Amino acid sequence: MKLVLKNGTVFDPMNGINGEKMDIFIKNGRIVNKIRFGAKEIDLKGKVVMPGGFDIHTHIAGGKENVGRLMRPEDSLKNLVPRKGRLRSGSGKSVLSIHITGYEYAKMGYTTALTPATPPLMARHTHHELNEIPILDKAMFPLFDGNWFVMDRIADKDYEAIKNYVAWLISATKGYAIKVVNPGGTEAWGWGKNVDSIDDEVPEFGVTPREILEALIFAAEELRLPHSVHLHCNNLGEPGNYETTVETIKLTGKFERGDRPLLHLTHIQFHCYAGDNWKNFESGTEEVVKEVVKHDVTIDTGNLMFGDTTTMTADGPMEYHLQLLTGRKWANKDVELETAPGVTPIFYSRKSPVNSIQWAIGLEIPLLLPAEKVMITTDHPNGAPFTKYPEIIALLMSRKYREIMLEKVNRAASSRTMLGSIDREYNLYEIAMVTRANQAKTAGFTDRGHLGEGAIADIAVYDLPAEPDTSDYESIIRAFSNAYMTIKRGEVVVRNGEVVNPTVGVTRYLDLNYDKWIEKDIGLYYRDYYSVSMQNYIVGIDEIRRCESVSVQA
Amino acid sequence: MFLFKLKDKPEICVEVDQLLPEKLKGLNLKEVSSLKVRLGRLEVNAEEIFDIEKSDGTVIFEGKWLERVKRIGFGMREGEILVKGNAGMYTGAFMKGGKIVVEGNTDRFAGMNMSDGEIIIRGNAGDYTGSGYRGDAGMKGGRILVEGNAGDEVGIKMKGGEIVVMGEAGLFFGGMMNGGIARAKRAIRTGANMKNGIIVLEQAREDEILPGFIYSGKDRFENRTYHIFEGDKAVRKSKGKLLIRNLE
Repeated sequence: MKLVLKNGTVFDPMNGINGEKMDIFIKNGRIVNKIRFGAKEIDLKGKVVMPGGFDIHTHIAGGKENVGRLMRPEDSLKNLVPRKGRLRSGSGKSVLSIHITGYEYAKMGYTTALTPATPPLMARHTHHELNEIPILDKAMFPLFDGNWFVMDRIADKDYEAIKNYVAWLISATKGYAIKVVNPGGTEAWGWGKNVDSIDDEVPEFGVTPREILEALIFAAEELRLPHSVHLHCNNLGEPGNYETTVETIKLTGKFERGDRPLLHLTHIQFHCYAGDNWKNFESGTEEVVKEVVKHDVTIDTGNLMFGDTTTMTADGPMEYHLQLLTGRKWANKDVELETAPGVTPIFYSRKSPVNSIQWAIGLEIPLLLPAEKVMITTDHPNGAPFTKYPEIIALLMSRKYREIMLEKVNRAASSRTMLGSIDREYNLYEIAMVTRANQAKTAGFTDRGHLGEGAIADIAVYDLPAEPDTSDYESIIRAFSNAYMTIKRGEVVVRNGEVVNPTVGVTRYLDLNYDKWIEKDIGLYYRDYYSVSMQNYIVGIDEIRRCESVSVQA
Repeated sequence: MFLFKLKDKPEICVEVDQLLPEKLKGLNLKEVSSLKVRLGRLEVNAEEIFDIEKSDGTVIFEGKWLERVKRIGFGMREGEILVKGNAGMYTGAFMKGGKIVVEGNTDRFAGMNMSDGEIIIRGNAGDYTGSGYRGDAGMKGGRILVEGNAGDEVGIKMKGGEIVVMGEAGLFFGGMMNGGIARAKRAIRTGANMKNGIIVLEQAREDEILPGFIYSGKDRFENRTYHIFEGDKAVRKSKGKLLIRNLE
């Protein structure tokens, strides 16, 4: 299969290509320098060509996603998609059913999505769901935050064992990186408590979130994992939590070598709050942004958009407190020895001062940071469903749109954040950075997020001029929500915003080496505590529909 | 408007959410005949199921097996529908205005999620009348009058509007209620987990009242004297009121 994309305006930040007119050659699903003959030509004159979109943090599959689907039949009713040709039926607006997830992403020009926060015990479930998501390439991050084995070894200061355990667990669950959610907090939740700072002790174990993080960063560095520790900080959503976030970022100082990021702080919008309570709640973005620039950390934004959505995190105590505020239904899903996710629906209202400030913070962060440091996510579905990405892109590109929105939302958004005073407008080059290049680079997917030779031919084409009129934000939203063309591994999967070819995506996992003696130690936990045996716990390669493994030399 | 007369007993239930007064307005007989009616997974023309005639003002459904016709007045905004017989499930669900009169009984989920308008049921109403779609909040406004008895979980999670059951209601009448007013002659396990709103019962035995309700004396409401209970105390910050005319 040979393909030539002719005359498109290309934005490829990793290779420094900023709006140049050039041809792209695709052969056998990869990008090549030149094809002599026999290639099918597609003329893309006046269209924008970018690498396929890359979402580094999106809850699209796993145990709690399914709880959300079960819990919210009324969400399904809002979006019913009938079967059409080769496309499967489905439903859901914030908790989408599996096939629809793939179609919706592809329609926006996204080709890769990583699902974080799977309790290792639920890894099999997650993989079976990922198998069924069409088009997208996927990877999964297992959780390490409330893990008994890790905490026991930290108490013994046995870092070698933790390193081996991390390697074993990532291999056993066919995961891709270390995910940490509210370190220590989910275990404390088992006792009805939470941890308030990174130096609070976890009951019964006597370890602190700081120690857990240091041990896991050490393990990730020793193992040379392609993606750094993926962290959801303590105190999510609490007023005044920016101090915890700053403390957490500073903790990486002791590991710094300057060659690669040590920590990925995810959905940082939820961790940038100043004030003492909900009344004097305000933005603490400036302090956090200062630290992010100084240290070897990466962030994704976790934008909040208005409307109805479902929140789901592995942070049980936080979901409980949220449920007390909203008075709506909620579910807590305890996973033995590992974690305790929670799920609750929420409506983010424009009239609410708190929600308006949260919305503004989500935009402040990308506008205050250099584009190299930014990744756009909504922490789907916590801040908003991922289908809102085009709106966020338009908000970043158009100052006029931001002004119109600031008029519509609660005035706290203007008075207690800096959003109104920021003039910056993103251009398409920077948009390509924050929606694909940065994420692929941070996640360690070296063959994604760019259009250089050898890269996988994941390409998104949008019907936009090279320098779009930023006051016409509606056409920007339209262009990004309905990609003119999405190409996945050299095959055209979307045309004019319609999925035409639901291909099967690949799940990527890490193949790590570990010392065999660790299996004996871990085995004791299965014998004494787990309700499953170690043999049943390990996910086999045959359970993943199409997989590609990445080996790392430690 | 038009009169729809059911030709024969449909093998499976028919869904008529296209046959609304606002959609029929200004159409001629031929256009109406080709409107789509859902029959299981198929869509068929209305004329295959109904004999259609012109009528004045109201949309009328007629026939012996009308309980097999679902979604009458589903999401309607204006106008009037008259059902000469029993109506199937989801009658007047998601209704936003207008009026539906059912001369017989209704099946389950009548007036589900309705936000305005009026439904009058001359016979009995089924379960979940005036409730919400599964997982959603219940009716937000409008009025439902049931002249006979009503089934279980009537008015569950309702947020506003009024439900009047002239006969008896079943289990969990006004359960998880959050606003509005629900009236019945008698009901079982009334107002369980209610947070706000008013439930008015004509009769109740003292031992029938749920333990979450606390007696707060007699008071006048709409010019009559009632025994007043407050609750359900099982819910945080609940402000619901249960009014009982004759306490036995």
